[in-house]
Amino acid sequence: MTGVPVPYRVTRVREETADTVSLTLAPAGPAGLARFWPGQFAMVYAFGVGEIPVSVSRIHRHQLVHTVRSVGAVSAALCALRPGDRVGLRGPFGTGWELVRAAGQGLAAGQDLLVVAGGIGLAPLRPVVLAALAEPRRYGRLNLLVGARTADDLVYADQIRAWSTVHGPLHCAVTVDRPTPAWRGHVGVVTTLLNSAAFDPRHTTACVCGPEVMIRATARDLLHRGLPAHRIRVSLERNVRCATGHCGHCQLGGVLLCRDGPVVGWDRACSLTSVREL
Amino acid sequence: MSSSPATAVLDRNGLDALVEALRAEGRTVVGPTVRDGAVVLDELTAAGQLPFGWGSEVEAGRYRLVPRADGAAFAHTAGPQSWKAFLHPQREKLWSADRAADGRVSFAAERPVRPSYAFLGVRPCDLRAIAVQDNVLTGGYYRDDGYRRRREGAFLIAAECTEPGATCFCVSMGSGPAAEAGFDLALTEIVDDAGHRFLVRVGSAAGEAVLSRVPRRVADEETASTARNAVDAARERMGRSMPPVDLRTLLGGTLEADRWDDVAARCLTCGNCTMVCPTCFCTTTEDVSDLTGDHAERWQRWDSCFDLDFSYLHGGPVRASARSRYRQWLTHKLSTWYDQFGSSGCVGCGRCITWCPVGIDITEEAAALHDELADRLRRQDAEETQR
Amino acid sequence: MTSTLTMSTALAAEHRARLMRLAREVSFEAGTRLFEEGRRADRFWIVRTGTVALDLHVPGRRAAVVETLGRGELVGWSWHFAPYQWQLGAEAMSPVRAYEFDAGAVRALCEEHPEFGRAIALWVGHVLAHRLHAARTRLLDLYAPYGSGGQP
Repeated sequence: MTGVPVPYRVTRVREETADTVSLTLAPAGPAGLARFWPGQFAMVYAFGVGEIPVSVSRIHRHQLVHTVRSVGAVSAALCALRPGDRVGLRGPFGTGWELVRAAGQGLAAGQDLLVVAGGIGLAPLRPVVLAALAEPRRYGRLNLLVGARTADDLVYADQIRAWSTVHGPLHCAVTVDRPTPAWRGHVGVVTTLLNSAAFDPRHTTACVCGPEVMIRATARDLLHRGLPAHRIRVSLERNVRCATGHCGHCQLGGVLLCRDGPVVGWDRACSLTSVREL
Repeated sequence: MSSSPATAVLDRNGLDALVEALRAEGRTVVGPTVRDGAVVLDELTAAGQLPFGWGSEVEAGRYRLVPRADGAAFAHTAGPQSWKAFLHPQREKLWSADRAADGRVSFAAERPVRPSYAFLGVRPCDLRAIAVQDNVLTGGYYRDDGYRRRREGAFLIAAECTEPGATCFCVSMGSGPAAEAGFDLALTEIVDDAGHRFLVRVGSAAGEAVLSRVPRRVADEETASTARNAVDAARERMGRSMPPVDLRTLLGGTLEADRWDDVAARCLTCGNCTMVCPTCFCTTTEDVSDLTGDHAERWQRWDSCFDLDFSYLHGGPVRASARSRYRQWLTHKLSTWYDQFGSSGCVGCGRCITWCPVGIDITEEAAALHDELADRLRRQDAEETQR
Repeated sequence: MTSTLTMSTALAAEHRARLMRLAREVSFEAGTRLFEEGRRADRFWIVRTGTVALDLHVPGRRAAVVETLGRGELVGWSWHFAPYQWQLGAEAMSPVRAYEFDAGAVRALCEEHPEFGRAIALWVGHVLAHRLHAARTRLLDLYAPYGSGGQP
């Protein structure tokens, strides 16, 4: 079932940055894959080249958006696709952010939501923001904090601009490592944005994705501010090949990341990311 | 050896008839046979191809065949192969993809003819190994269909262990030398003044049906007790043992031990241990396409956690050092396997010790880790009391 | 939202009260220069609202922003260490409201009350350590294509 790809058609290609594109994919035949949840990933196959795991960056009925950065042979092939081209898709795989469970469990009032993204790590978090904005009453205060290399490296820039200017339910802030002359926003690491975010650490669920160093720094900061470790949800990355828990590549200690992740609580992830070369 | 209601005794002719009966059912009979100076697993057309009169002498990094005067067929220890070579083959085509002129792409799963194996002479340790791989590959949410089809069609004839080797430690892992469950038929070989014969126990309806077509006699008490004694004696003659501690906890708590540097200085990271291990299941995939570029295939092949590419993330391997790769192998086998699949990944067959080119011994490494940990705790205690 | 880096949580109530007695409420229009590199560091601020950018003058370029500071954050630490000279420049990026402190008065208070002085030194040291770590992290260029892998 999940071992053989299902053909999908590229319906739209959007260039996010110089090396990153978002592909909108629709089933090429009558049947597509089962429903994806935010944080889950698909194995995306570029014909004759190979397959890589890519999280969903948007879920719109049967259409899926995957944001791909060109860093290797397969991702380069995917980034070169044009509308009408075909790919193979397997999935959905992985744990996902489990927002409803994480935010709804035992707390009628709903939790403050803190979404912290670094670089391309915003891709798997965008469905979280969209889901929260679709049902803001489910949650407390909503925060999106984004760290990027430069303003030009920011994915979904238009969307972020809209979220930042409209005084809606979402507090959105962006910081960059290297400001370009035109940049008038924050400069510094993403954790510096936490001071201005609106959340009660005792009733907050955090979703964090980015480079592992950024995840560790953010999780430590949040722990220090009083968030319980299990409410700090982080998305980790390892070499995922089969995605069905059978090939052994994505092991991180006792965790099979394709099966038990990619999203895990910091209560579990802390020790896994503190041992070198685990 | 547990008692079973339906027991019978086969002589050598009975064993011949058993192979014939299985072949008559259309099964491919696979069993141990001598080739290239080792006992290997291969298709058997007759019971006569079994390694009658051959035993093996093993040590860390050493394996030699030795002739036996008693003519026993199942007196050798584990050879370089295990049954995973048949159930979870080294190379397997998963699917193919074709691209039409209009750009449409179609995928077709590979559906080979379901093989119908009969494995003759499965050691109890290997019986456990098959159960472990069953759980890994078919016990979770997703199933490996190829494995499942091969496994469902397989008929297992265990051979209890009466001649353990110097690298064997199945008693430590609770997987032998007796065959408890998971077989269709279980044999215990006896060679004594009363003749060369095999006590047979039935483990399934399929086993009973096959046995009914084979000339046999009802088991006498003497043969049954001789068999029981031989297996019990084997229990006391294991060449090696694991330290009698909770290995899962031990390996989980020694990730930063100095011993890893010691073993890394010896380990060649060749991956032999993972290839011969009957439970190691890791695979990778290869995508190939033909010259037109419009036909592509996905192949799966065995992979090893000792390979640098195994942990590759864009930029480089996560486990670059030999230390981290050996540690991955051993901690996975003895500890994190529990987290992932609910059991140990080690069955005590001793193959990784025998076939390691530099003779690294998994039981010795576990004991050294235990000693280092005990030493550390002792020193911590001493410091505490000083304060 | 709290962090040990903000004065309100870094200092014990008694020290906080002592420091706040020297505070002056100020506000700056966007674009106001708070201080310039090389000048005498005779004041410091704690941001209440708005954002302050720290910058370095590069010939032929607009001042390069190296970091921005927001709510609750300490603006300026050179006042605490001889020769009391600013290493960077600072500019209000937005309208800013802040508490302003006279550095000389705070240093004198530190001399006079060693306990208070130690608490202030720890606080400033903690802020510095945090900023050093953040700067080092940014040196890794983690969001670059191979940033999380460590090569090439």
